[in-house]
This record gives sequence, structure tokens and C-alpha cells, in this order.
Amino acid sequence: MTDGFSPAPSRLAAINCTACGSPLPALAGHRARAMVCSYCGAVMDRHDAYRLLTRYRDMQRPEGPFQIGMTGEILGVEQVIVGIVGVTASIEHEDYHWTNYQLYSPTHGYSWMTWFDGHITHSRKTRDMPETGGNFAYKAPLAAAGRQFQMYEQYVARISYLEGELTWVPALGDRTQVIEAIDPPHGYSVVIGENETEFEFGTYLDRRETLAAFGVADEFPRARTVHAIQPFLPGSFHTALSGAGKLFAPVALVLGLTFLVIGTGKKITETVIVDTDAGGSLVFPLTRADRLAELRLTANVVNAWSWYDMELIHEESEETVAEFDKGLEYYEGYDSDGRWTEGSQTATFRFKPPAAGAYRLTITTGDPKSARLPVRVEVRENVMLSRYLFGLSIFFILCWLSLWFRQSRFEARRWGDDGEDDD
Amino acid sequence: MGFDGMNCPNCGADLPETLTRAKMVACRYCESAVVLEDDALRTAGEKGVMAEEPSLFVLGREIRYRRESWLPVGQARFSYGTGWWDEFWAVDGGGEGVWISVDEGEIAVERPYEIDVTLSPWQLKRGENVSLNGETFTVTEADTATCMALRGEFPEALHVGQAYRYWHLSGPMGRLVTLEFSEGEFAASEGVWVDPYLIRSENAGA
Repeated sequence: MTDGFSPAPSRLAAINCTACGSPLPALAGHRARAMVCSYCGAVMDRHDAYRLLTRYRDMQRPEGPFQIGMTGEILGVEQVIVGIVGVTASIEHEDYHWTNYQLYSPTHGYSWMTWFDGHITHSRKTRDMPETGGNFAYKAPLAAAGRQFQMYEQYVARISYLEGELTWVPALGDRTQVIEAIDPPHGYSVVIGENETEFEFGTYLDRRETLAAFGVADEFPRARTVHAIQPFLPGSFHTALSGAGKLFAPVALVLGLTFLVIGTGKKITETVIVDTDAGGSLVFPLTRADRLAELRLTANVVNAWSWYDMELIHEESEETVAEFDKGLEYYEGYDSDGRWTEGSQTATFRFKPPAAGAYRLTITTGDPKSARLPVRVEVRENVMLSRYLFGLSIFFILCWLSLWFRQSRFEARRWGDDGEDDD
Repeated sequence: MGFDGMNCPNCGADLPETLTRAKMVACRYCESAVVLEDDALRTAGEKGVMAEEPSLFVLGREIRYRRESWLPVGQARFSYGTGWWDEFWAVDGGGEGVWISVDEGEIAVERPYEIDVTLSPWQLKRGENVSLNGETFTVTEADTATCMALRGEFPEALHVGQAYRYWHLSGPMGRLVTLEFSEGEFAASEGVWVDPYLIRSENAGA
């Protein structure tokens, strides 16, 4: 003989409404106190042979994806939906509506699943009272249930719909004052009723997983709002983008600084062409065909402009490598704000030589109206540009900060600080 | 007292060694409740039929809650007006015993509690305030429960079919005191409510 216990007796599966006779599923345990008929709105006392207490006709079931009798797993616990309560609250002169589903688990008891604007949350009664005093000011800290919450909002909730099995005897229009604090993905609520004050611990649920757990196809509109306890989940792409930015921004910055220091290259020659009207030229050797070379023109042009036509020829092949022109203009003066300048007395050209060897630069004054000024020509090779790396580092920094920007915007929407109307 | 292979006085079957630390065990074979009194064994009636229900608590399987752990060794089932609840006797890591009451996810863990006042069942009415050891408690529940079934071992003799009057009192910071009145005497236990979602056991599923 084994230990003397027997299988659980079969539970009552359904009752007939004592007011209208409609069959109603009886899914909750013995602590559920009331049954509200889905058909005629009769409220019955489960602890008194389903005695009719009152009746609410013509109630409109609030929108939501779940129905009484559905089962699914929440927070690792198998739950069955046994009741539905519609709630309306007026917050800052705007009406909000949501749907509470009464859940029952034989092992974990009764709790709530809430559908609000496409968000799904779970809340359960907790005995953990606030550990700090009653400072319920906006954004004030509130310690409870081993967590540090932040005060979010207060409102009065009113029951607008009733159906199924519920843990208390409700009345349509019953009001409770609710004080909510948040620590996403969790929330803590103080619910002050007419006769007692209760405390609730909430958890934000993944919508897709929860709907799937209850066998519901996700054909409902996307959430338009950020829920009070919705966690910021940036997604793998934005996380990877930010991670890459964090990794590569310092690399690009260090390389840019390195190029800035050592990238000025080696001076090959420097000469002054006095008479550009006649056409001057200079010949210089370049040893690296795979590195940038740089020509820098400097003329002492003041409140005038001078224009130069240039041709760069590879001596050995006699091929023209580049033809280019450039004007130097520089103006200065004084006005009511003081001294001002405009333009530059220097121009720079960079090119990649097709081959090592000697190159000849010819330079003449182009435009007849140009000032006739001597021009100093400086040639450097092995030049490395740092500005692209600085640009790249800025790009990576923006990638890195993109997550912060997204989270800031998300938090602003959570707290209603974004100045946008959610509707 | 050392364990020397005691047998059930009703059917002669071997009794578990745990009887050496318990006051009472339920014989697994003949369904008798066996009480150890002054080193002598006597039967204390039937142990009743324990209908198997889903539970986080299973005899012989350790459960953990926050930083504590308990091993349930006895299970008593009581019926009250509208349902029933299980009362588990469990031992913690230090060998100390606790009562764990389980009623559809409402779980309280309580330890024996000495009270310094003389109480009368008549003064304990729902909603009344009671001073216990200098603290004020409010009576939140008053009812009578009947023992339906027993399994395992207990620190005191329980009897299937016996009615017990009990009161739940709520105190500061969520503290809970349970008073029980039977055979003219009060027994008290004090403890806290436990969040079932934070219980870790093989049956918790979390």
C-alpha cells in the first residue's frame, strides 16, 4: 500500500446563471467570491449558493484580446482567465480605458493581466508595504518590495464593466484611488479602496510572447504610447550600432590625431616664382607613387585677388598629370565691429602621383585682371590626411550616442515630457 | 531518545526515523495517525484521505524563498466555510520548525509565538484591535476549521475530524499572527506572508 492520497476530485466545470439560466464556466478556486453572468450581468455570491445580488444590464465588454477560459503561462506560471473588469480613469482631464483580466492559478492564486493600448502587464497583490514615508510627489523615490521605485502618477479608477469570477463582490462604478510608482519593467501600486488599502507589484510583459502563450494571433493595433513600466529595448541593430560606435570612435580619433602629428609629410622643395606673367616653373622629385603629394601656394595678396593656371607634367613620360587653376583672394578692413578679414592667402592641392620620378609644375597668372604677385610654392610628399579620420570619429561617436538619444526620447515619452500628444 | 525501529501500534509497520524529532506521524500503510507520548506510541485515529492538488509544496522536497529554505515534512488539510487550506510543518536549515499555510496562492510562514496576555475567544471579533506583547494587531479573519487529512509528521498531535477555532491578526509592517483555540487553550504563531512567485522549488515552475 502506498501513501494514502487520492487524485483531486473533479472540479465544478460550469454553473447555470441563477438569474437567466445561461451556462457559465466555473474555473476559479474557492476564494473567488463573485460570479458575474456574461449574458445578463447578474452578480452572484459564490459563497452563498450563487445567490443573486444585483444585475447590471447592457454592459459593453471592453476591447481586448483575451476571453474567459483561455489558459497560458505568465512569469513561468500556468494561469487561466476567470474574469474581466473594465476600468476607466480620468488623468489630467483625459479619459483612459483599460481591461483587467482576473487570472487564477491553483498554486499561485489570483492576479491580474491588463491590456492597455496594446500593452500587456501583470500585477499581483504584495504584502510589501512602502519602506519610505508617504511622499507621493511626482518622481519622488519610493522604496518597496526590495526595489527603488519612482513616483509616476495618481488617479481614481472606476469600474465600467464586470464579467466572470472575481475575488470580491464588485459593483459597477466602484472607485479606488491608485498611486503608481515605477521601476521598469516593474511597477508598484497603492490601491486605496473604500474599506482597505492593498499593494500591487506589476511586471511589463512581452506582448508577442504573452499573446502566443494564450494562443491569440497578434492582429491588434500597435501600441501608440510608451507604457509607464515598459522597459527600453533598443533592438539588436541599434545595440550593435552603438557598440560599434563605442569601439571604433576612439580608434578613429587616435588615428586622426596621429595623422595630424606625423601626416604633414616631407618637404621636397620650396621656391618663389616672381614673374608669373612670363610663366614660371619648378621641377621636383617624388619618390612615393602610393602616397599623397601636396602643393601649397602662398601669395601676399591683400584686398585683391590673383589667379593662377597650373600644369603638372611627369618629366619622363612628358604626360600631363593634372591641369588646375586656383584663385587666391584676401580682403581685410575695419567696421563697427572691429577688424575683419575674408579669404586666404594660401591654397593647397593634393594629388597622387602616378609614378615616382621628376615632375614639373608650370604656373602662370591666368586672368588678365588678376593681381601680379610673386607666389611661393611648397611641395611635400608622403602626406596623410587626418580630417577624414576626424570625420569618421564624429560619425562613430554619433553612432555610440544614438542609443542614448533613443533612450532619452523613449523616457521623455514615458514621462510625457516630449511635448507630443500621444493621440 | 535514540531510534530503535519503532512500529505502528495499529498495523506493526515500520515508522519513519523522523518520528524521533516529531510528536506525531501518519502511518503510510494503515492510515493511522501515531502519536509519541512519553516514549510510548498510541494511535490517534485515521489520517484521512488527502486529495492530491497542485501545490508548490511537496513533502520531502526543499523549497527556497529569498535567503531561507524549508523542507516540508508534514501536511495537514483543514476545511473551512467555503474551501480548504493546507498547513505544512517544515524544518529550516537549522532544524527549526515553521508552519506554512497555503490557500490558493495565499502563503504564510509562521513560527511558534508566545503571547503574554490572557485571551478569550469572545473578545476576538473581526475588525477588533488586540494588543499582543505590546503591539497592536487587528483581527482580519475568524473562523472554524476542521482537520480533513494528515500526511507526514508534526510537532503536535492533530486529529482528523477535530474542529479548531482560529483567528488571523494583521500587525504592523505586514506581520501576521494566527491564534488557534482548541481544548480550552490558545496556541499562537507569528510570521509573514510569502510571495508565491518568489518561491523556488521543483514544483514552482519558475
